[in-house]
Amino acid sequence: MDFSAIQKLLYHPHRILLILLLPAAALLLTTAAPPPTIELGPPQTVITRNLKMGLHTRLTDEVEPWKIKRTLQMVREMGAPWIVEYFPWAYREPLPGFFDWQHSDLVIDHAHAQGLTVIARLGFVPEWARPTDSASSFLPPEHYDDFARFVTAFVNRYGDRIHAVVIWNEPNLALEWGFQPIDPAGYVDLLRPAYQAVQQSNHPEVLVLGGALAPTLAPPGSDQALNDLIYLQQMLDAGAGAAMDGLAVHAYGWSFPADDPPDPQVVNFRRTELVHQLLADNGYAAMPIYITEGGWNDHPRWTRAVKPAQRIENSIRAYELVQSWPWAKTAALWAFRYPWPARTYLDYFTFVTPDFEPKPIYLELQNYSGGAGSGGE
Amino acid sequence: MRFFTRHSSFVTRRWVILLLFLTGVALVFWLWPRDDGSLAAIQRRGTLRVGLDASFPPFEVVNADGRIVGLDVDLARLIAADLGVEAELVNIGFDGLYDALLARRVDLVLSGLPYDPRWTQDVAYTQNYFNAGQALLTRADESAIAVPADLAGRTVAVEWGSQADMEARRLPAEPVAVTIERHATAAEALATLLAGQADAAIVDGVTAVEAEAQGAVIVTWLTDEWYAGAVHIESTALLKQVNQTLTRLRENGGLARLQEQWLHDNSQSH
Repeated sequence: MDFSAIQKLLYHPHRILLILLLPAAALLLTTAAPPPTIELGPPQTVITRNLKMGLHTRLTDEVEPWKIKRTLQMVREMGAPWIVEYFPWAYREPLPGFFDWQHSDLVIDHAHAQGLTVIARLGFVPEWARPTDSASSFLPPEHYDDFARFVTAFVNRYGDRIHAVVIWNEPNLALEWGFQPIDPAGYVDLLRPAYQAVQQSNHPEVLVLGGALAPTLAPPGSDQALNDLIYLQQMLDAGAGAAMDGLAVHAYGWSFPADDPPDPQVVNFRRTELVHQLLADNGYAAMPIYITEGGWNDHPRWTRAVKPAQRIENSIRAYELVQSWPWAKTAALWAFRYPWPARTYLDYFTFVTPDFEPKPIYLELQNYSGGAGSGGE
Repeated sequence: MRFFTRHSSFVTRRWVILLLFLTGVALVFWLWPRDDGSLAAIQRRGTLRVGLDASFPPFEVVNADGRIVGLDVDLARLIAADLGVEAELVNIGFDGLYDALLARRVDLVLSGLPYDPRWTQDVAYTQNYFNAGQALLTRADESAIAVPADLAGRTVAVEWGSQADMEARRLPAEPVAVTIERHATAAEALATLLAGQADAAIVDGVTAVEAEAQGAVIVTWLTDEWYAGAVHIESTALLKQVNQTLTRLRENGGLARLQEQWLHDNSQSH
């Protein structure tokens, strides 16, 4: 073995310093370099036959600006004027009062440039606002005002470019309620300050939507979930109607066709009509409903999936149904694209591949809508 | 300033050698695969806890009697038998399978699980045992189609909107385009092929194996999607044993028989 090179280095410590500093400098240069600029481009307009078509995008974990732009471009070209996107509180406010808007700026700016109407879902508790080792969906009541302050900051920044905010997600699941006992009145205690925050923000015209409930038949007493219709009634009993401008709804069809009739004992797409009826029965018939997740899965083996052809037909029919419901403002189907393959049945919810290859369902919906990419432009 | 003088070069060399030696020892120790003792624990317990999501026929599904049955279930029992224990089936939603493994609630996941490189820091995959990718099929009496390029000017049947449909759209359009015939189900696409109304069909791996029993042959795999088992990254002894069983079953035709049993007649799962 020849150690002369090492010995030479040891005789010249400045060389060691140089060797140590070079990678550090390279690292600094790499991390300090600004992300490549992706032009917003000229303002676009969505061309569609159905103004209520929407998609839930999934850009939270998408780090590359060109992919954010491409995603939103393809949504527009499919003929969907609405998107729902998730903006995790923990990512935007990693330390109390310290906001990082870089990623959400990209999403909102590109969505606006593509002519899309944005519904922003807010949730995901930062570590500083919850006990150590607790779930990210657990927000202790003493931090409800911190969340309301975040809502104010978010709406002040984006209120001129978003339509609505959704407060929390599926709080009728223990998983989404910090693994705490399911508590509709407790959720209303969280919703109320968030609603007031928007009212007192620079953009009180932004709508506050009650968090969409997971469609489930879980009975009272289950420690995992509570039937969405029961939960909603208890929410309304606790005063939710005065703390929201509209209600987000999740409308999955599972293995049922889109036209399968509503039935309290069945989870299907038209369960949304039962939600509307329940609102009406409580004096809120005029309260708009926004379907912020829903649709079908076409995995070849999953027991809750349908055939790809059925998924296409059901999705088109679902958009038609929503168009005919005056109280429903949009149906944003889950999910436009994942940043990377889930390698499970979940991949069969998407409309384009992670590489932006349109799936047949994308092309068929584009054809239905007469979107910009369908030759209808 | 110098760290060392030339007079101390002999001492320096000895230190460098010692340092390199110690670094080497540390590296070997650090990289050497450690075992978590799970195999011994399984044998003490007398059960191999197998995590699966029983909503995925014909690999695992709850049948009319409420029992979990399927290809993976039988495979799990064969693996457990080789370990001298019983298989204990733990039914978990697909999203929770890896967490169950990492939380040590199960010893092995066997659930139509596609190999996923993103998990390889936390779990170790067994040998793969089934390809669920997309296969190009033709009839056994059709010898003119050996590669996808031979499809030029011919008709390919697929299920409308499926992954097979996507693969068909990727087939070369030059010099002569392929005619894609779309059907409501993969079974209909296959029937069209077998009836001689299409020259080829593209179907998923399960349908392809089923089709072989009906007189179709697999020309080639257009995509691969391998299913494998998974164990905790530190369960090295268990992994070795599972792989030994899979090797044995591959060599003695046991895996082929399982496929034949569950894929040629998956009415058993209902």
